[in-house]
Amino acid sequence: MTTTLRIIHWICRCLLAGVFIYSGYVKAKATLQFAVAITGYQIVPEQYIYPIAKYFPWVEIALGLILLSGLKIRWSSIAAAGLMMFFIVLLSITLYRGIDTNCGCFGFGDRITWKTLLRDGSFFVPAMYLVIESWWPKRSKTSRLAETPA
Amino acid sequence: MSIHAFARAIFAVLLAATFSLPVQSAEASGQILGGAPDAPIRIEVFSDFQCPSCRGLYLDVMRRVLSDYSSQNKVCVVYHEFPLQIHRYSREAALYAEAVSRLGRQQLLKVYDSLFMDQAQWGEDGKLEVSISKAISLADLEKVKKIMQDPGINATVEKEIRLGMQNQIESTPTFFIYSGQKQLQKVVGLLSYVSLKTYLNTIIK
Repeated sequence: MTTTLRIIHWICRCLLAGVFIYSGYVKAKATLQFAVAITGYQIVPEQYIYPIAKYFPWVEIALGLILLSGLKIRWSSIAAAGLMMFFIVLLSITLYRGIDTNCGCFGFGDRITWKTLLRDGSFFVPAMYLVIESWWPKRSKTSRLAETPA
Repeated sequence: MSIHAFARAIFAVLLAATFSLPVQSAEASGQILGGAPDAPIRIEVFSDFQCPSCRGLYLDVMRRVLSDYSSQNKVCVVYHEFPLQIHRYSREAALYAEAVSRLGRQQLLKVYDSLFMDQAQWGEDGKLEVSISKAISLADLEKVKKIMQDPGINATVEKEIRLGMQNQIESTPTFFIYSGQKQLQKVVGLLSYVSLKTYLNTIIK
């Protein structure tokens, strides 16, 4: 990996880690407020709202910490991209249904608009970069030696 | 003010801002709708009689909290008047509720039920007395009208509004959940009873 790619890799990882840790922290310290936000989406059955509000923020924090540590980057990047895709789909559906509610993404005051969708969508880019970069077949030293003509 | 007192005041403000704690505990004021003040959990609601979400919170959530938890003194439910200026009759409704609270809790609960159930009607025509007269006897209504003459009623509602502003209330309903003096949660908006119940069950041992 060249130095430039290494820097991009670090920026993407730290950015995503920061996003997940911060948004998880905000939700974890206001469980019931997050439950109100989930209720606003009108998509989750009532009995699942509180368990999601209680445990989901910790999933985000854990993912952020794993991304920050760099461990299992191939799988953590897939999880990050998958989660971002999930948020994008959820916000799009809510916008399409014309539901005026709070996003509950990084706090509890922002209504869901196209700007919210664009903001959350922009985090999908570094996540996808990490997925592609970590899954792209790398040519190892041994394979290069094997290719060298005798 | 000494340097130490000033430093303490600054520290208290910073601490309150950091942890979103209310500047002033609302414990001493408000209308207790259920449970005793020494209940392990206290829910303090800042509400507006003309706000539709407040209606939902009271009728669908708090009434169930009152019957399931306050009746066993597990939760004390305190309501604070926070009439918003955008609602034409909500201040008058708050004044009536404050006056009725002097008659007793049973009457107050009936008036809360009636005012919230008839919200659409009196919100349109402003005839609050029609709704209140459904909840209490004519004799009590006459008493309420006399109590309404007391300037203390208006002063109490004003005090409640100031308390709400000190607690950074920006919209209704907003409620706080306390365990003793410790604020556990601040919730803005309408929460389902199922979620609140699950939460209360985890904190009430």
